[in-house]
Amino acid sequence: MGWSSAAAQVQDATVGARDVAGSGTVELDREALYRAHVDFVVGLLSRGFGYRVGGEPRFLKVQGAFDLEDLTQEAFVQLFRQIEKGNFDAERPVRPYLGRIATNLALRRFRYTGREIPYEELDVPVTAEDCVENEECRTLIETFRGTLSARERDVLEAYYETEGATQASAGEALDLSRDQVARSVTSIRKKAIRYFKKRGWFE
Amino acid sequence: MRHERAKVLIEKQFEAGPLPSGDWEDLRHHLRECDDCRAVYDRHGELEAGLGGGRVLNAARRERMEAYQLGNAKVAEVVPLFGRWQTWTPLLAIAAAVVLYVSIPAEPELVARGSGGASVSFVKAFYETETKEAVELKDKLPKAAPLLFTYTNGAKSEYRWVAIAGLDASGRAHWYYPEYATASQPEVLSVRIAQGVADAPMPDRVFAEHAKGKLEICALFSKEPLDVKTVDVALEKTGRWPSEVERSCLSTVVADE
Repeated sequence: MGWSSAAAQVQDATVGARDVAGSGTVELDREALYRAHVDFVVGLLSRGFGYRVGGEPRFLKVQGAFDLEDLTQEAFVQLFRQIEKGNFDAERPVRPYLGRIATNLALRRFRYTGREIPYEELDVPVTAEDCVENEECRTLIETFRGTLSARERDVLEAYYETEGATQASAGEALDLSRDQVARSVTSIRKKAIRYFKKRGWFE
Repeated sequence: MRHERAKVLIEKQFEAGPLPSGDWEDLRHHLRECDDCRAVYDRHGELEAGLGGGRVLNAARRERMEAYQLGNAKVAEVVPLFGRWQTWTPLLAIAAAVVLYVSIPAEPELVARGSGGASVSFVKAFYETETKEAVELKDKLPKAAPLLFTYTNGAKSEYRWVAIAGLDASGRAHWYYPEYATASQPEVLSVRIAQGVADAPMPDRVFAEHAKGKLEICALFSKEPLDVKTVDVALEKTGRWPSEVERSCLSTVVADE
């Protein structure tokens, strides 16, 4: 499972660590650690990873929104727990260790529930699972956008569709307060639920 | 957790952002076991991803996951029926020193559930003066003064929900702490409280138009969310709190300043 490049490992060794008052003791900063590696964990689980069972290659991909979020959260909980217990050497790169935690958690959850994909079926396209790959969902999103106000469309673009955006950054880009963005986001979400419900999306 | 409650929370999370941490943990445990509810969650996730241009870790999901991971989700989300005001954190220090007191008649001064301090649950009431001081609520409540509350809920308390209401001299019930009804959750329910907390402030000042005269304020603790309307209807019919609801009450008098 080669999920870390050499460059990432070098970077990884210092991300999220701070020297406590110049004492030479390195302490891991949970918040920085989480923000530095959450994309990696989510990417690893959602793109999938290979492993072997009795020598046979297999592939596991976490597809459901809940499992993805829950496993990611659990992976970091486990990581922080190991740090607290002193089981993790702060000098070592975090990413490979965290990746192993995440994949082990996923394997434990799915191995016996038939959600693995044998290697020979990897080329089968995933359909109707991801909205972007599902034509019906894509069409619904497009027509839904047409029902939004101009401000809501701007917020949709600045918040949802912009890489790395936050409500604060979207507000800055649109010259709105964070509160105004938050209210627009809530309005968009409520409208989306009603719109998609009416069209049978949740059935 | 019941399926209906899980689905309400899923929709609420999607519409309004991260849930209070207690609700999220309950939902999370339910979804690990319930395939149907997990499918509903996943469906909402797909919609969210669709809104975000197909990004797996779009802004909404990122902010929500971070809130849960780093503990930024609210402990208890409470929205009073009669207006929302600024958070009332400075009064926590005062609350620690002032005697709270809402007690059932047979056990003055303390509402205890079960044995031992770890099971204690009670609510404290104050009113705010014009100079923004919090004064313990005893015999008199100035008519225009906003109310403030803190709650204590023992670590071993079986109660996870509270509704706080007042019954004034005209027989009208004022619901200070239920949740707002929404289109997706039309029932007005009591609010979630944490366990193992002492003198935790309810986040808002509560303004209500009480009739002058006797006012009875009651905290209704429960293990499941209380449907406020059910209690309200019974209260209106009989003028008395339903006997099957556990409550702790304080009597005061609403008067001019």
